[in-house]
Amino acid sequence: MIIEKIELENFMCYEGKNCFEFSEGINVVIGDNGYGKSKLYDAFYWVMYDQIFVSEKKEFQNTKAVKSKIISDKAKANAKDGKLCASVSITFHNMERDNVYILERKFTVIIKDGKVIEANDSEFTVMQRELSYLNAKMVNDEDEKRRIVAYILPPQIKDYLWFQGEQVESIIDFNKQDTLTKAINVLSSITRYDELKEIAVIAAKSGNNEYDRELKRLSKDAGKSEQLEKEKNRLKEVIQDLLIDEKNVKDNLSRAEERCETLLSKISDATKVSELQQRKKSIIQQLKELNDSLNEEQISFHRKMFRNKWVLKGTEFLHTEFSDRFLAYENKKLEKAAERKVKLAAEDIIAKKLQTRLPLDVPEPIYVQRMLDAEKCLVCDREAKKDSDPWKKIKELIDRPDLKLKSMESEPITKQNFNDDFKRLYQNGLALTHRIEEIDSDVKETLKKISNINTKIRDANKEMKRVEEDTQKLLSDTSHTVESAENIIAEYSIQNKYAKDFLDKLNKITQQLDYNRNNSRNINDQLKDLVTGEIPKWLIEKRDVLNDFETIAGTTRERVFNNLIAQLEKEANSHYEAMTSGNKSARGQIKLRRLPNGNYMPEIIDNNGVPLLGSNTSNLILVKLATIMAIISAKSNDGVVCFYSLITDAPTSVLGEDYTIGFCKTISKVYKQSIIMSKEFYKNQSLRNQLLTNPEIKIGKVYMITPSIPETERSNRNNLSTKIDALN
Amino acid sequence: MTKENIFKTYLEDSLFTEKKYLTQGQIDKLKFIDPSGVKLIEVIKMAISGNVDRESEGVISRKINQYLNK
Amino acid sequence: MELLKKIKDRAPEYDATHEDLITKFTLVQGGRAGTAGEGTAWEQGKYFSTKYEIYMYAALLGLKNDYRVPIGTNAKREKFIEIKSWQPADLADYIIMSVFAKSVIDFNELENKEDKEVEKEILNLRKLLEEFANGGFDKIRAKLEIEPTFFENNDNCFIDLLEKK
Repeated sequence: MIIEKIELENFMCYEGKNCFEFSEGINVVIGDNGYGKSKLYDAFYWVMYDQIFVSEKKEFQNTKAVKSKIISDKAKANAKDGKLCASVSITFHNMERDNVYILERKFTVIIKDGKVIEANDSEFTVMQRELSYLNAKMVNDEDEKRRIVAYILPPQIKDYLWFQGEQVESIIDFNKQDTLTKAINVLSSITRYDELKEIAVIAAKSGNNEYDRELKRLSKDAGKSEQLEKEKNRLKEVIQDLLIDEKNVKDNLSRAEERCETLLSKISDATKVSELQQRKKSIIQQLKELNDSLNEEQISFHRKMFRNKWVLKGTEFLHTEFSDRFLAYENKKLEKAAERKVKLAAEDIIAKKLQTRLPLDVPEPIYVQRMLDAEKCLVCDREAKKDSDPWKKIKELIDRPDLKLKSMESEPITKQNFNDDFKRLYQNGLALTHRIEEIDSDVKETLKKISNINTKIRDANKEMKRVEEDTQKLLSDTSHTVESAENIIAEYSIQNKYAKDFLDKLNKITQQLDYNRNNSRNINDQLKDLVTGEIPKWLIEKRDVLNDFETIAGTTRERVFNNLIAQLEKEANSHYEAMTSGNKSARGQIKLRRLPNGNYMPEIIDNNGVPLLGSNTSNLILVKLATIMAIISAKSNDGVVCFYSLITDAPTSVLGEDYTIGFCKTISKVYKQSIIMSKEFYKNQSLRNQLLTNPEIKIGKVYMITPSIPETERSNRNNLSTKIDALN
Repeated sequence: MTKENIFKTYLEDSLFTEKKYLTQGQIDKLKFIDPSGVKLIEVIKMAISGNVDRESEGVISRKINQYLNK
Repeated sequence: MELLKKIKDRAPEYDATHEDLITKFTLVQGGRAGTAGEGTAWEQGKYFSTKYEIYMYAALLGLKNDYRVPIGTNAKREKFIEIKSWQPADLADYIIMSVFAKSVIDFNELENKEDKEVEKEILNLRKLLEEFANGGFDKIRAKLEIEPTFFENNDNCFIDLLEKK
């Protein structure tokens, strides 16, 4: 069944008359967000089911609820008084039988005085051409219309053929009993086996009851039998209750396991985010410490100018000059001292000489003075004229003590003595010049230290930037936030604990079931022992046969179901492999894993059957898409091409480039016709080219849609219409 | 799915050979319309027939009971 | 140690035109010398904690380059703390030593002078110190004029200045 074309008039953003023609293969409608792709999908859906998918509420709403919102704003704005309608018409062509169906839905309102008078319902018409060259005939019978709609798109598979990208999650939520059963039923009617099982259960129950009654009748001790019966019934109830508990626990356990599984794929990323945050914290700490020590160094740097005498750099020569002068000064002083010494020594000699002649004060000075005054020596009575040699010799006797006195004075050579001061200056300078030698290396070392710290700070900043970039990338790849990453880790451990707890509980219940069932069996044996006479053979046989029937019905149902699951899994894997074949990164295999409550969840496993960690969103979506396709393709008789068309809006938004082409290839192989609305090809020119030219893709028509008003100016929608360009 | 298909899936059950109702060879050759000579198998056929023909559970159950009452 | 003591009792003066330059680079003290900490100086972007520090720096700069500039006779003079309060003391002594080295005072002759004359010489010594310091300030001022960014982007500016000839 091929969709040949869809004509839209005044439908939503498609003001006026618009038409898309389609052919076999993969037809693509390309447009950016908000350009009208979803509205096109809505148009298809509206015709068939009188409903629009409201994305804010993620649900379908009837025309009744949506009303004139269906009509283009521009049409409404420009409408003259009278009737105004929106309509969509789809032309279907069954290629095998060559009959054509034209389905049209119209919604009409009245415009009066520029205002819209609302209507409630849409009109639905079906035209049929038995052979494509014949005239079209209107179909009037309502039942026939419904039949045609069902024929064009069988209800039980419509959800797997016409779906929005947002619905993918819920279509393939296998942990919900009904979606699973529904999917399996598409492949093959498992419901029948359930019904047969039910029949067997009822039959077995009645057979057993009959048998028990007979036992009772034949019992030699009616009273005891009665008692045992009562006990047996009680146990039956206990077992019933336990079974209910068991089911609940299994459901809980399944939910916890499924949650863990989902989280598991996210947890490696979440852990990475968490680790990166830790790293960031420690870098911040490091930076603080480094900055503190840098501050310290810089503060003390200038102090060293004075404390470490750096200010004396290059001034050694001043000390040299001073020491030269100091040396000269000291030398001169020494000279003078030496001179003085010589003088003193000379005086000393004279004094000594005198001493050898006569002892001191001999004769006494008054007598010596008498001789001097008399100018005569009183000893030898010879003349001693004043200032003559003999007279001088006599005078020496008096002078001698003076002399001695004088020499003993040792008057200071100079008035002031600054030797200590100069010496102090010299020694101080000397000590400092030793320090001067070290200044250069000291400065260098300090500068080096500062430079090192600066380098470390720079490196830490670089690393911080890297960590932040990595975090950002991880967050945008996985659409986590920092908080959600922490939450995931926390929730994972919680769910793990739940799973463990539920498992424990389950084990307990199982034990109790065994116990009670054993007791029940015991009672049966006891009842049997009480029997006198014989139980009719046919009754025994009947009971056995019916019990076997019940068993077989159960195991067969399970077997058939499991086979269907395996079939689905295999089919899904072949699609998954085809779609991911272009991508080198590990993509694993699809496994439909059985949960404790009998439901299944799809997961991705590696070669060892271990769940593949860190599967990103695109892998998971692909798995679901592959499974959806498998449901349809596994059923097809020729196994390859599906008779019905796939219509889907933006399933590729999470796939990324690599997978998008693989997806398109697979789709063009699995479905005879598909109509894809996509934004991936909008900006990406090369991807578009690949789409148009890749020989493995059976390409149908490709359209580009653009709105007349850009997204940013959409406050006034009264001018909004959509331009449709065919690219091939 | 036809009665024959459903019947075949039941015959795949290991219980037949385990409880020695039939040999594997006999099972392989068995068709829906053939009388099997095994009560269990006849019961199964009744259930399948009744279900496919949209008989009610009660009706099917009674038929089976009657058959086994001899 | 009489001589040194007398010398250190003096407080040198500087040309008031350098006041701006001094406050630009020196932490302004509250009252007593050295009450603000090193950290404060750094935070305020100053290099010297006290006026005598920059004075010592300028003096050594002038002495090193043998560059002395007499203070103009009409110039307004600012006085500050006596040399004996300068820290560290050994640095102050070194400067005194250097001034002596550059002076024309004859050490030996000095010892023969009377106290009054010695006082006169000490005054000359002080004058010489002031001239060298003035020269040092002039050098800093000149550098600031030619290359203002030298002092702005460079934490080591004063140390670098010591390198120059």
